Amino acid sequence: MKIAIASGKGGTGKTLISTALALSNKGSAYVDMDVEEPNGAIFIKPRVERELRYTVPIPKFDLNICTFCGKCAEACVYNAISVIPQAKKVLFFEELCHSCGVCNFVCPARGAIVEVPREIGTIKIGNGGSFVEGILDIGVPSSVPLLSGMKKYYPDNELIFIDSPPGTSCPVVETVKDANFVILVTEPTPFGLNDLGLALEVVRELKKPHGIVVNKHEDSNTSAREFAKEHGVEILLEVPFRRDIAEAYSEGVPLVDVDPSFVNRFKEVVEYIKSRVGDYESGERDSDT
Amino acid sequence: MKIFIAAEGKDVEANVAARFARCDVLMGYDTDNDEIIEAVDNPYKDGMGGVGVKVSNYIAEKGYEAAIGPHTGPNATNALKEAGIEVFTFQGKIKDAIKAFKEAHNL
Repeated sequence: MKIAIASGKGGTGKTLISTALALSNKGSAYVDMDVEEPNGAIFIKPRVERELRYTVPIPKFDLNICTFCGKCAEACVYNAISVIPQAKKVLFFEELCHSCGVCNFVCPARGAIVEVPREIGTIKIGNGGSFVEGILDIGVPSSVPLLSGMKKYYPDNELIFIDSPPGTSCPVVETVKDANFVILVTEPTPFGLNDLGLALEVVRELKKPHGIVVNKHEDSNTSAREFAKEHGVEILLEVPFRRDIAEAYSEGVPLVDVDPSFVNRFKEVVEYIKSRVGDYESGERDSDT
Repeated sequence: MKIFIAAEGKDVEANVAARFARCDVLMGYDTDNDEIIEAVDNPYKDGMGGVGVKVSNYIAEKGYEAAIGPHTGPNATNALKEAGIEVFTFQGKIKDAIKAFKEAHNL
């Protein structure tokens, strides 16, 4: 079972929660797909065994063979190619390319386009395969190809926690779409709840069973509870707003080491999710999904 | 000379667009006969990405020798430069832009 931890707003505690889940549930795996800023390793402290560079294919043009017919530029829906017959030039805009290969497919001049690898990031694998981390290279505009490439290295473990990127756009969809359940981590602030609303729309669109973990909870602030009630979504856990948790986190100490009483609470969350996913997959859908 | 104008409307009283490739109207103008060759709704305006490249390709294919518009984005700048198309930056009414362009080129 794959449980994705997403949030909408950044900085609500996805990594705090996902590393605590992984450390509480023995035999589970942790996959850091927040590839623009992966930091779960700080808390998991894995033994990294393999490190590989991930590449995507991009076209390379042989201007001695190219007839400058422009079919590739015409076919490219991402507008990554510009052919200038007058100047006998082909411009390729690497950052617009989605590696679909259609340019090569439509090219009538055999050999004018060859596909060459372009490095876009690194995938680290450790702890016997139960730790996977992606790191996007600086300057690469889209993380989606790396995220889809990481899926080949999903661990075999029965229980996998996927630390998702923040936001509600393509990288989140790519990460969450394989999950059996999505935990949305929020904080009880106007920004946190606003973006939680957006993230909820995404998981509902994807028809994923989901629940909320409220981080930085204070009894005096009931805004997250009200939000949950209003939107018909369940709160799985509330993590209190405590200075000792924040201080330890800033030093790379995971939540479950600060307060071991959390271990059982995170185990219970997983047990509960298992029962809900079971219900969901056997067709007894909850009202909010 | 046939030039391209990133336009907000379909006549010379309209303004030069505020955004180059995502302008409302793709306009072609003949400076020799002082007439609008074409003024079409920009089909690429709401494209997902690479619109600068797309419009630059359009300008090159149509054989325009220069382009009047606001500052161009990095992709359009590169594509137009490689295609040998001059970019004449102007803000204001199209008729004033054409006048300034002609003066600058002794036309």
